[in-house]
Amino acid sequence: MQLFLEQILNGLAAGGMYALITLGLALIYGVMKILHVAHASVYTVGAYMGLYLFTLTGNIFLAALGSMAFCACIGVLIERFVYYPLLKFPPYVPLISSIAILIAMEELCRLVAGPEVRTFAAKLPFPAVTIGNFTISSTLVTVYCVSFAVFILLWLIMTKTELGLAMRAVSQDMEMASALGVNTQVTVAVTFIIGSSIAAIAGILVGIYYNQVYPMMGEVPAYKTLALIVVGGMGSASGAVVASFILGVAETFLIGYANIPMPRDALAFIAMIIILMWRPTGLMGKR
Amino acid sequence: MSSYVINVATQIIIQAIAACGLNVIVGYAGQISLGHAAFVGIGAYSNAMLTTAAGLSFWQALPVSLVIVGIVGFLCGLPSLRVREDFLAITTIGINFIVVAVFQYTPALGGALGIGGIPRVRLFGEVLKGNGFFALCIVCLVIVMVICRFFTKSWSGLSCFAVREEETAASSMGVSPVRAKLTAFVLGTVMAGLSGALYAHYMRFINADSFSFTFSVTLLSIAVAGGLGTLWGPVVGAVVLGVLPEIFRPLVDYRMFLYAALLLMMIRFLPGGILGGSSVISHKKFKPKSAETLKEGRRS
Amino acid sequence: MSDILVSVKNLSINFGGLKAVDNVSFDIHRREILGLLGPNGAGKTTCFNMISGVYKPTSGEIYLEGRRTDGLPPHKMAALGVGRTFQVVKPFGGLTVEENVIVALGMPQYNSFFGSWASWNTPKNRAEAQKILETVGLSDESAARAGMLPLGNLRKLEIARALALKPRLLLLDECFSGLRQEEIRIIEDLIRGISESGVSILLIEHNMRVAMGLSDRIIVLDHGRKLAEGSPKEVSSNPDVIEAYLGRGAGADVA
Repeated sequence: MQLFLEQILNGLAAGGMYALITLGLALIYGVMKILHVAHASVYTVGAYMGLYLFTLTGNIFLAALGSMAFCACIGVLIERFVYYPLLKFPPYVPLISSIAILIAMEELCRLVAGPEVRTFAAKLPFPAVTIGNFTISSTLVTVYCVSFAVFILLWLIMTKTELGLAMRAVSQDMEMASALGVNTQVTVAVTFIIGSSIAAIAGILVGIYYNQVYPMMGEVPAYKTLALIVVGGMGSASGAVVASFILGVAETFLIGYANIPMPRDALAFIAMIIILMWRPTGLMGKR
Repeated sequence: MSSYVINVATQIIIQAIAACGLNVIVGYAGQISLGHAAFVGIGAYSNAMLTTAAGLSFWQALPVSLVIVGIVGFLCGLPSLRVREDFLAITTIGINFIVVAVFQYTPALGGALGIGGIPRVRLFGEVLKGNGFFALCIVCLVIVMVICRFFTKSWSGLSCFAVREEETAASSMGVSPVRAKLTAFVLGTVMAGLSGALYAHYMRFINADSFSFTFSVTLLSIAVAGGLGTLWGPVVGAVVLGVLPEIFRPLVDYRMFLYAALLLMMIRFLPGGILGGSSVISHKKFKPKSAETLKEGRRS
Repeated sequence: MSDILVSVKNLSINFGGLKAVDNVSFDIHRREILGLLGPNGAGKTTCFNMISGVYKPTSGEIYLEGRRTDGLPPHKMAALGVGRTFQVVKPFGGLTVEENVIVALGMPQYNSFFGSWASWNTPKNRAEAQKILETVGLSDESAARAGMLPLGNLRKLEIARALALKPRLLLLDECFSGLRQEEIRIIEDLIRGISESGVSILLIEHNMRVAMGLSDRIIVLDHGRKLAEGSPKEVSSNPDVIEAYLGRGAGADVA
C-alpha cells in the first residue's frame, strides 16, 4: 500500500512537471499553430540557468526569476527571428527550423557547460509534510505547490484578463482577432514569454527533483509532449494538462510496477494513437 | 578514388534514394512524413533477416523486402492520411518511435544488439564492395529517379499535385484524395525500403539506433534543402548535407552545433530549397529544367 | 427519358444541433438554369455541398437521373457528371492554367489501375484543354501559373475545370462575386452558352439582376427551408421572399 501511494505521488509529480512543459507548448501551438519542438531546449536552458544563478546567489527564488527572464527572451527571439518570417511557408518549414534550434541549443549547452551530469541540490523553501506514518518529501511538496500555483495563475490570466482573452481569440482565429483590434504580434510574443518562462520553471523543478541537469535532458520531453498536446486536443491548454497527468502517472506505474520493456516515448505515442482512435479530436479538442 | 571518398559518396547516394521517396510523399503529394526513417529501417531489417536467417541472396531478398515495406507503408498510411496535417506530422513521429521500439525490443530481430554479419552483395559471383557497391547504389538511384520522373508524368502523379495544391477542388474533379495520398505514400516508403536494404548490405551490421527519429529529420532536411517537388532536389540536398558534416569533421566537438546552425540558416533563408522557388541561387543554370519543374508541380 | 435530371427529396442536414437545411425538396430539369437564392446563411452552399458530395445529408435523398447519390463522395459525383465551382476560388496555384484543366480531363483515369499510370502530357490532352480554355476565354493565359491570375480569370478557370468533366449538371457557387461589369457580362454569356449545349445548371448568386436574368426558374431558401419556387417574376413579387431579404415590414411596402 505504501509503495502504491508513493507511486501515485511520484506519478502526480511527474505529471505536474510534464504539464508545465506541455502547457507552454499547447499555448504556443494555440496562437501560432507551430509545433515548437525547440521548447524542450528552452526548458534545458532554463534548468542550466537556474542552476548557474543558484550557485551564484544561493537563493532559489532569484535563480528561478532570473532563469525565467532569460528563457522568456530566448523564446521571443526564436519567435521573432525564426518562426514569424516562416509563417507563410508550409508547416514543415518552421518545424525543421525548430528541430534545428533544439539540436543547436542542446549542443550549445554541452559546449558551454560541459557534457557531464550536474547535480542541483537546492535548499527548498517548502517543508516536508507528514500525514500519519507517511511523509511527503520537501521536493515533492515543492513540485506540487509550484505546479499548482502556475496552473492557477495561468487560469486566472486566461479567463480574467484581457491578455487571456486576446490569446484565446488569436488561437481561435487570428485574422478575425486582428480585425477586432487585437494586436496579434504582441499577443503571440507574450504567449512565447509566458510559455518559455513556465518551461524554465519546469526545467528547474526537474533538475531539483531528479537532481540531474545535463545537455540532453530536453530529449526526454521533446517529442512526448507533442503526443500530449495531440491527446489533449490541439491547442487546448487544459487538455494538455490532463493528458500530462495521465502520462505521468501511467509512466511511473509502468516503470515502477510492471516491467514493460518499451521505451517511454513509444508508450506515449501508442497511447496517443489509441486515444485518437477513440476520440479523433483529442480529449478536449473542439474540432 | 580514395576509399574515404567512396564511403562518404556511397552513404550520400543511399540517403538520396530515401530522400527521393520522401520527396514523393512531401514534395509531390504535399503530405508530411516525419517517420520516413522507420521505413528505411523496415527495408534494412527485412533484407538483413532474409539474407542471414533465411539464407537468401541480396537479389532474392530485395523484392520480398520491398513488398513488405510497401504493405507496412500501406497499413500505416491508411489511417494516418485521413487526419489533419498537424496530426499527421505527430502520427508519423509516433510511427517512427514505435517501429524503432519494435526493432529494439524484439529478440527475434536481434534486440538491442541488432543484426550483424549481413553478407555482401554478389553479382555474377563477384562480391561488390567499394567502387562496385557504389556503382550498384548509383544504378538504384537512377532507377528511382526514372520512376519519379515517370510518376510526375502519369495521371497518378498529376492527381497527387492536385491534392497537394487544393484537396477539395481536386476531389470535385474526380480525384480521390485518399487514393492519391496512399499511392504517393506507398511509393515513397518502398523507395525508403530500397535505401534501407542497400544500407544493411553496406554497413553489414544494423541496429535500431540507425533509424531513429533523428534520421527522419535528416531525411526531411535533405529533401527540403534540395528543393521539394523537384527531380534533382533530393540528390542536391543529400550531397550538400552529406558533405557538410565531413567538412566539419576536423572540428569534432563543434560538428553537431555547426550542422544544426547551418541547417537553421538554410531553412530560414532558403525555405524553398536550393532548387526551389525562393532560392537566392540563380536558376539560369537549371533553365532547361525549370519548364519541367513547373510541370512537376514545383512548390515555391 | 424523363425531363428531370436531379431530384432532391426532403433533404436535411444537422450541424451539431443547428439544422442548416430543413426538409428541402426540388427538381432540376434538363437544360434548365435553376437559381438558388436566399439571404446569407439560408443553406444554399450547404445544399450544393450535399449535391456535390462534400456533405452527407442527415436525412432525405438525392437522385441523379433516377440513381440515388446522396452520401457519395465528391470524386464519385464528379465521375457521375456533376461539376462545380467554389465560392472562394480554389485553383491549383502551382500548376499552369492548362494543367489545371487537364487535371479535370483525367477524371476517367484516376480510378482505373492501368489508366492512372498513363501519361497526361499528350498533345491530345493539351488540345482538348485548349479548346475548353477558348470557350471560357482563357486560351491566352494557358501557360501562366494559376496562382498568379486575377480574380476574374480565376472564376473563368473554375468554370473551365468543371466543363472539362463533361458534366450533365454544373453547380456554380457565386461565380460572379468580385467581378467588374464587363467580366460579369462575359460570364453570363458563357453560362448561357453552356446551358444551350445541354448542361443543367444550378446557380447560387447574390447579384439579383444576374440571377433573375439568367435563371429559368428560381428557388428561394431561408433559414434552411424552401420559401418559394417559381419563375423569376413570380418569385420577385412574392412578399415572403421580399420580407426574407429586406426584413419584416418591407413585404407590405414593396409591390
